[in-house]
Amino acid sequence: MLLYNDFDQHVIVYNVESGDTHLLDKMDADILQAMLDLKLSNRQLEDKVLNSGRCGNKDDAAAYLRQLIKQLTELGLLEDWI
Amino acid sequence: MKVIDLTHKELQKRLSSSGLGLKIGKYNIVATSKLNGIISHISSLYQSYKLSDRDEFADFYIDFSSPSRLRAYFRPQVDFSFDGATPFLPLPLAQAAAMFEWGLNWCIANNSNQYLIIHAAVIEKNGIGVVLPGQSGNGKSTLCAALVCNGWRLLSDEMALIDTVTGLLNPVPRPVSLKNRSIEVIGAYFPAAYIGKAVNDTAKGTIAHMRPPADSVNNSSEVPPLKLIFPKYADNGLAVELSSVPKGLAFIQLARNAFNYNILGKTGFTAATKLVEQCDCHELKYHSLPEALSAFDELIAKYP
Repeated sequence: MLLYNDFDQHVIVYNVESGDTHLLDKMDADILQAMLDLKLSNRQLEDKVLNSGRCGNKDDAAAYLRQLIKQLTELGLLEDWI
Repeated sequence: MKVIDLTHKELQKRLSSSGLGLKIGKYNIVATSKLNGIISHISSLYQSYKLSDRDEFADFYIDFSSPSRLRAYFRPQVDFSFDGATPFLPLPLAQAAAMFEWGLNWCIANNSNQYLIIHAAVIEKNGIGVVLPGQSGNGKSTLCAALVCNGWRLLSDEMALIDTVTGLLNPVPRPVSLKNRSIEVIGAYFPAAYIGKAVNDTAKGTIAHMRPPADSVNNSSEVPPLKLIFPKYADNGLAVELSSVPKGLAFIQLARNAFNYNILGKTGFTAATKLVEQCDCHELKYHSLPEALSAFDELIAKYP
């Protein structure tokens, strides 16, 4: 279970199970929340973001998303199976 | 009745028999010791503290003594015990005063989980509580001592006790711990301040304690925290610099400086959130104490 605190450009994410606290950029926190709330897989997330018409270079955006998901998983905020 | 109302002999008798009951903020401690270093530390720095009645509930029973009879003659040491347990290794007897303060810090920090405890100095003026978080060596205690000598109320120079239910700051005013060069700096700027005997060669260098103002000691009212200021002494001769800190970053710094954030879990997260939400967050880089004092007074003057 994650708790979120929205402070302007940053979001504090508190992992109730591990007791860890994380500082995320707002956009990264939005992506995390969307993945968890909508139960999106990596593939579904990429499709959704890349086809939203809101990102510039699709290759860069895809690379960014993969890196972000890797980091969020390492932090224990996303499960490996997603 | 206060410590100052006791003669030296009466103080010595209480400390060496059933114990001296002291009221420190909302805490009631009972101290026992036969060591002259402890007796003179209490006598000179705890003058304004109220004595508690013998039958009153005590939060902590603390004792300071020599570890063994032999140690009284050969490299004498001081041992600290809390409710019969000995959490630290003994220190040289000359460091008894420092041991008293560190022991008391330990008691409060480890037994007060009704509060979110932040490693911070806490002061107040005009009802505005200011929390100055930071580790040792960033100029927190020097700044705190200067502010207190300049009319601010001292709530603590070591830890902010934030009630997890009300969000208010609970006062625990104690002598201000000055280290190394700060001792002469505060002595030079504020000659009227009483600074106890310096203790050399401690784990933190030379330490001396400044007596807290009687007004602060006898004021047990809680205050709302409204400013969160991260002080940083900059040895660069530049003018004082006060800059805003984004609240997300302030939250992380606060959590890093908390003693029991992880122990409190969700309660700690909620209390820290409330604190950061209701405070203006700043970083203060200072070199000159008078400039830093002016910056604080301006902050308060501007407060709506």
